[in-house]
Amino acid sequence: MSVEALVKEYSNMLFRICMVMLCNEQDAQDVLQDTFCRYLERAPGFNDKEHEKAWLIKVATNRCRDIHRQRRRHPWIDIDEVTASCEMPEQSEVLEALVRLPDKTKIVTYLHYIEGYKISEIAPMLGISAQAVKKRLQRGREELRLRL
Amino acid sequence: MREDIKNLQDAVNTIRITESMEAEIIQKVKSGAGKKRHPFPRMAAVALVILLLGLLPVPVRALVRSFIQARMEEVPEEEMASIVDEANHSTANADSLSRPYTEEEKRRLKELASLYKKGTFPKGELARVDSVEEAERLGFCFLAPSSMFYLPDRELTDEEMLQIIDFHAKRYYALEQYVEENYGDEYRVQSPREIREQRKEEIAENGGITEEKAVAAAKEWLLKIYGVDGESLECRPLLSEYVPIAGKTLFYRVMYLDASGQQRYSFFIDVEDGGLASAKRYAENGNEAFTAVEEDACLPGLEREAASFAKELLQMTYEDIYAAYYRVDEILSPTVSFLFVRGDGGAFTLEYSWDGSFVGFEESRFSTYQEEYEDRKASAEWTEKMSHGGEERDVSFFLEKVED
Repeated sequence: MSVEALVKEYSNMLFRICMVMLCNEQDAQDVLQDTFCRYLERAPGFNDKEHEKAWLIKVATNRCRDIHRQRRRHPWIDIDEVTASCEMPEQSEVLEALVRLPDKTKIVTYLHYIEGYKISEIAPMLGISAQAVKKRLQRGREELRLRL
Repeated sequence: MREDIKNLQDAVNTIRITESMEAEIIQKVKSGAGKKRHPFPRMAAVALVILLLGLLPVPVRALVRSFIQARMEEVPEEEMASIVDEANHSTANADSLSRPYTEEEKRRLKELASLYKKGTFPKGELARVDSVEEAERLGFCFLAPSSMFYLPDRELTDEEMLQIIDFHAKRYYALEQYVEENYGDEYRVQSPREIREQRKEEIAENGGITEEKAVAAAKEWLLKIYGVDGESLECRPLLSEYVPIAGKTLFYRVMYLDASGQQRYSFFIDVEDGGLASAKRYAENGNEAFTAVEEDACLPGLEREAASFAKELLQMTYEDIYAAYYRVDEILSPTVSFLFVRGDGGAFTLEYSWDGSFVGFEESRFSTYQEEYEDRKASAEWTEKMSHGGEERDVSFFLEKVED
């Protein structure tokens, strides 16, 4: 697949994940560049499109985690950067609630409720057990109810 | 909850990558620029200094009179214009460093930024150059066309670090002034945060309570209901306009979190009269599952506890009480809800975990307790289904009238 086709097919989906995880456009753009570069350098053979998409999500979320570790002492987030595009206030409120979740809970919640992945699919993507996914999803539901 | 998920999906769909960003990514990936030249992320390198100064994201008009502002106002207009011109003509999207700061430099930058805010300024200025040759000759400067800070291979001196801090402060101030003067209100689109702040002012002007009063009310309820002193907890107040409770939607939502983030409390305070509309406690580990045998033993005690709580602490009146809970595969729901039915058919609920811990209080948004119960049933079925990978679960529901 050409670089153009690759970026056009997956950049929007990955950009959303990165913005929710990082709340920063510059960092999100960096992660996307890294992710696509790794795809060109090291991507394994894929069984199908879903396999390819899952691989890209895994690389991007790992990279988001790396940036968080670097940021931990000097957090650089602006929730408004993520919610500014929301047209309706109730969307902005619920998106803010998602963004404020702890990272481990947030990514599982996002992949399940936004991307529609099942627990059994999320587990290998993030390198954790299905039980851990279930537990984080439950926390995500509880915390979203709390923040709303 | 389902409506929230729909709102969430719609909200996430509003986040879109721009065509220009996409084109830039394509270009950089093709040229191999996606591989980092600097191991230190570019934004973090610069953000470090700006954060230390506490400059962002405060807009200029909101800056409190300070040593820094006084210094900025002494900078000649020509210099400010030159700074803006450089920023506008730079080919880089963001600043970068010729090498990352060392740990010692980061520590010292933080100390010096604090001193800078109190009026400790550099003796000289960071040189700004236009060519790589000049930058390499000087060794310590700012290369304007590519927005790169050239740092020497040795540790930076205090004077050099102060010059870097001073440079950032001037540039930030110059750009903010430029935008304010040239675009004014056209540029200033209100952020959701600004809209909320404006809304809070309107509420107070129209006779509603302030955020401070809501926080004070929530703190009192935290102590009264849960026996917890809010002084030791992190407090997060927020204006909530879309969560319906008892026919209203405008509340201050005040959350308290302990240091570990494990124990959380949430209060919805009515903006009109400061009354409590909802209180809830959340624990990290959730509640232990109880079997049906233990339910029979626990329920009478919980009923008495709930009735006492409603009468004495909340001073609510009611006519009937119903206990609502469910069972899946012989495992009880994590909590039991007591629906207190008023004379007009409306209701409020008190929720308890089976070990007797009080979880929460909420005014029902429905006009009858039966509707409240049906909503809770639907929510429980969906929760159980989603927590089991989308499989339908055989859930048995119980609604039992509590006898006096």
